[in-house]
Amino acid sequence: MSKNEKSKARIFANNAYAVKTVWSISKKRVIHTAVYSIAGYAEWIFMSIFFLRYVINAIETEAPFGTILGFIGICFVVFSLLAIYTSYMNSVIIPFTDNKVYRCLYRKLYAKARNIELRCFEDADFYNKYTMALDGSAQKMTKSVDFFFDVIFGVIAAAAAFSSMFMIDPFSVLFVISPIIGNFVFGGLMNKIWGGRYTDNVKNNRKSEYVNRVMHLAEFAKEIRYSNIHELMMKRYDEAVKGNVEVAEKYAGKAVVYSWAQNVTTFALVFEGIMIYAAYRTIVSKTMGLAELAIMFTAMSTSSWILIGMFNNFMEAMKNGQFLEYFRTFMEYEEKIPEDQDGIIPEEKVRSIEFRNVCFEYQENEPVINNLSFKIEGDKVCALVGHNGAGKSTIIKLLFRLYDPTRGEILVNGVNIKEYNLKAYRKLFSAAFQDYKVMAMSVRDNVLMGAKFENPDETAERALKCAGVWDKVQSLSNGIDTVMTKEFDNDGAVLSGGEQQKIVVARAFAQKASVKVFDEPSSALDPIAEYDLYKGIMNESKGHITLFISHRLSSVKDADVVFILENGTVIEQGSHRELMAQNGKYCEMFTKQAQNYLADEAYGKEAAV
Amino acid sequence: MKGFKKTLANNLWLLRHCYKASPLYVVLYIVEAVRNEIVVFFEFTFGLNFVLECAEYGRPFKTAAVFLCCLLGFVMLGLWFNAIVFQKLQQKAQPKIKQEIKEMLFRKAKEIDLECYDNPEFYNSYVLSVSEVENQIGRIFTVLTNLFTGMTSILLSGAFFIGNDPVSFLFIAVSFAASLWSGKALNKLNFKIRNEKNPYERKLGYINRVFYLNDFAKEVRLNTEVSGELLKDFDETNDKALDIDKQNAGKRFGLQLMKDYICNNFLIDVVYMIYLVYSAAVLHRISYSNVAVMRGTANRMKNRMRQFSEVYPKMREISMYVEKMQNFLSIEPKIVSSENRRLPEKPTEIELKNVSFGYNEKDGYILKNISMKIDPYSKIAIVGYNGAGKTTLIKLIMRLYDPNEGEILLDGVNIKEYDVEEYRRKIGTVFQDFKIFAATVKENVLLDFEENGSDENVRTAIEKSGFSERLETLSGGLGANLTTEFEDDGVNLSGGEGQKLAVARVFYKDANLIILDEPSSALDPIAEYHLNHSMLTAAENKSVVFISHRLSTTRIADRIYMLENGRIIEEGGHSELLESGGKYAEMWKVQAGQYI
Repeated sequence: MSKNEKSKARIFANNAYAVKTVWSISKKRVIHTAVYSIAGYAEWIFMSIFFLRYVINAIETEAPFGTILGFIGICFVVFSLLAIYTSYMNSVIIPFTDNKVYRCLYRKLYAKARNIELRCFEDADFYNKYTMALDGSAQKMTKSVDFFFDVIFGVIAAAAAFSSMFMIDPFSVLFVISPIIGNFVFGGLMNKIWGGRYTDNVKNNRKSEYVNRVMHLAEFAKEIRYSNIHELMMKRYDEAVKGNVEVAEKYAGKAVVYSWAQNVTTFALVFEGIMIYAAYRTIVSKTMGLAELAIMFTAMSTSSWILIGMFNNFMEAMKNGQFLEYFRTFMEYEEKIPEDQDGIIPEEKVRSIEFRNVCFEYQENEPVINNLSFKIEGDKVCALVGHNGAGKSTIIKLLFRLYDPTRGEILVNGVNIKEYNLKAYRKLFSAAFQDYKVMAMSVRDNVLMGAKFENPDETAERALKCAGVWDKVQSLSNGIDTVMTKEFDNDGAVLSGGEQQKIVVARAFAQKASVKVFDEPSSALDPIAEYDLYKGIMNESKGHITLFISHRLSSVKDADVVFILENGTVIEQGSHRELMAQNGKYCEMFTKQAQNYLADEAYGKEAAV
Repeated sequence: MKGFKKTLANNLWLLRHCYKASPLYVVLYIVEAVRNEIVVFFEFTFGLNFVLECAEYGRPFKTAAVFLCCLLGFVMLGLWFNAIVFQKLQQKAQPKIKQEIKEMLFRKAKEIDLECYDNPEFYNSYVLSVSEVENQIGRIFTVLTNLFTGMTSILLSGAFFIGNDPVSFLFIAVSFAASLWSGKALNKLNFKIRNEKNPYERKLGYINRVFYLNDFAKEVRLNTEVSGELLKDFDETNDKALDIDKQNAGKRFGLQLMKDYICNNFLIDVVYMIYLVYSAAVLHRISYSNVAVMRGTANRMKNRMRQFSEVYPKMREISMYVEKMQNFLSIEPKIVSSENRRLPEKPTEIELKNVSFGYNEKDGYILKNISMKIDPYSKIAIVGYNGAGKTTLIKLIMRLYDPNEGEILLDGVNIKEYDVEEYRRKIGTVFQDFKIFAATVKENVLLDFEENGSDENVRTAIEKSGFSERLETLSGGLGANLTTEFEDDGVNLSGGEGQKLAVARVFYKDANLIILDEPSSALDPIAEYHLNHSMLTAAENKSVVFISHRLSTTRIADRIYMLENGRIIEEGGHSELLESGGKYAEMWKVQAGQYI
């Protein structure tokens, strides 16, 4: 219970946090929201209670028509001004301030997203929370401000409505108890039922969403035509729907009772009750005027609606507060490897890279890198070779300090990389990642990636030529200025996987880094392109360290050093010649791969003779 | 008029399907809408008036009390009905209704030609109609509410005003018409603003994705400057969006004021009020307690009229989406069979005769004048550069597309004459972009219900594809759930493991022809070596067509076809091609040379 209370307090605090955050960005937005809320309630109460009461009283007491007209006239002027303000608020102030608020909030989120370590992205739990933080968070922040004032002024408005009823008849206020019970007791119970339905349906809905995806994404279309998977998916869908119906059944009994009780206490008992009471006062005890009788009814219904609105706003604010919790935890998350970490500025030249007894695991007790030690000295071409899952890509991530080792240390130029200024440290490297991602920017920007160059066009051109994609780029409608992907430019170029990969490889060529890394740069290329690419990498290898990952042994033959990885550690290292002489694992792998070619080469020669 | 008829027909179509899925709910939903409006009228107009009149004309309290107690009873009963409809029936009916319509679309999606997916216009409209099912179902129920409460309210309140003061109609009508008009103008403006902002919103959405998707996280971290560029873009885009708001602010303000105030509160609370006061205080035509009742009723009637006026526009919108659904449902697959001929039991010769094919006219032919022969039990390799048309070629053989020119013969008969399903059943395949489904291991091999296959056969297939080692590590065995899609303890396979499992599908299938598109691309060399070997042994009594970049794999083929720009430029056995010293030989040298 106390934990529950605590979390409730936290949710309240989150709303206050939202108001404070928006306040720090745009005071105007907060002040106007407050004024707008007051104006709305004031008009509502005035119009439905005081205005009508005055008019009917005036007619009853046979006030001159001119006086009533004068009153209506004054109201007209006041409410016209209010209406002008509300329209101005809705069509000018809100859109303008929202632009500013959203912009600042998203910039904050982006800055944070940029600054947290990669692990956060790869940790499903964290990531889910994070996407929730981002998803419409700015809109939720401003909503929070709206709710905040609507709840505060709703309470005041409800009090005003009740006191106006009190003025007509002190006992009538007792009727207010009924809608309060209705909203806060039965409304609360109903909310729990909605929550329960939602949680119970999560699994069912995940199922039907998955079926939906399989059935409408083009990538599944072929498989559907070549198998009976369609029927299987339909069965899953049917299970999901049956699950939905079961959940509906489960809650139906309680839900019917609660929702009925809520409606009866909020509406029926109050309206009919107050009418009977007021009719009694008017007809039997004759202590109430006819106008009061009429007003009583509108006043009661206004109070009820204000209460309902308040309750809904309150519930929405709670829900919003829960979402804001994600936003807050995300913003308050303490980075383990802050991207803006300061430290020693490294030398521009990387002379040596050393892994010393490095261990690493993504998940506890599932080591990926196991007591790994190796050293690279001088501008060499190094290759990392190993089976799928041997830890090749992880080594690159560790080297870039996208992760920190669980044990051991990584030294660059003899200094533990944790001591460097991270941004400056990262600048030592350029990389072509395996999961090549082309961004929705021009080809040039995709290659240069925002780095400054003296001759940007020439640099990009040279890099694209090295990657063997220059001809293709030239054939595009705007050459190097062509925007990639159709993301937001319908004339954008959509390139094949191989071409995209080459553009990503060009990135690594273009950067003036001291260490260039290529992680399986040819996975989407055909043999000739692959061959050309490795030739390009070799040709460009002067003046910096080159590190590449490949499982094509033919491509590592020319490397100065080859590291053979197995189970997260180096089992053999040396040049091709040395490794072949060792007659170890490398030799075995190479021979197996070569077998297919060599046997035939011999056969070919024979045939030629 | 024709448009109206169509709109009506389309809405009825959707409603009929809702009714089919859950008839009781649809009927009771309508009853509830009418019931609710009648109760509201009896409470707020008739009831209030009745009590006021009792007081004004000094009727006995008992009359009023009995009336109110009866009313309370009816209201409470009605609310019970309301709770049953919304808390029980609706909860059960909604998923069923959705299922009814979605399944119809899904069934069609399975039936239509793959070609449809290549046509973005078609594809987008399909995706849209699937994703809109829920919204449109929601919308048609709103239409029902608006329609029936609107009609009920207009009838009841109309009768009330005719009985009391017909002139009131005028005020209501003017207020209604004016707010309708200004609302329309405001919507149009907002729509225009949204449209103008759309490209900027898309851009902002993209920048958002770059920052929060894992896909880009590494690049953003390594290329330290790229985020600065993106943020600059972000600011500029926001400025542009703000400019659009600024440009339209004046007009928007005017229309908003018109709609919210002048046409509504001003007309009812000021103008109509003056009229009511004048009628009561000066003309004494209506009783003063009536003023309150009439004002309330007028406001409500106007709101209901507004809701009623939204019925037709909403129906038009529904109709638009229904039309998309119907268009989709009316697509007839072109890849069908006229004869539904039975297939030969054993592998037979397949021949392509002068086949040409293009996905669309704009891009021209991808394959040009292809002729090739696949002898029974032979192993055929297709090699060539990226984009040479290899994958397209096998899609034709698989009859996922039909050639534009030429024909494909199986056992001397055009493949169009064979039963499509059976034809495909006789082909086993691993696609380059194979998929692992959120299902058990066994289901993933069968791609069918578990009952339809024996464990033993599945195990044999898994053995052959080299997945059995991994299978042993799965605690659920063949019943282990794959992917964490909806089983939290599901297993996510790596690319290489997934591929092995996909290959097991082929081994399981009793096919005559096996087609493999780059079957070893996700595997490391040793795994590739094993897979190639097991594939060959498993496929001994089948014909095989495979695509590979790696010539070490293709050299084992009986016949190799080298494709370039959609044409066969070389064909023959491996050594034959090497001798001829053409492109294949060049490719071979590049690859094999590195191993010498």
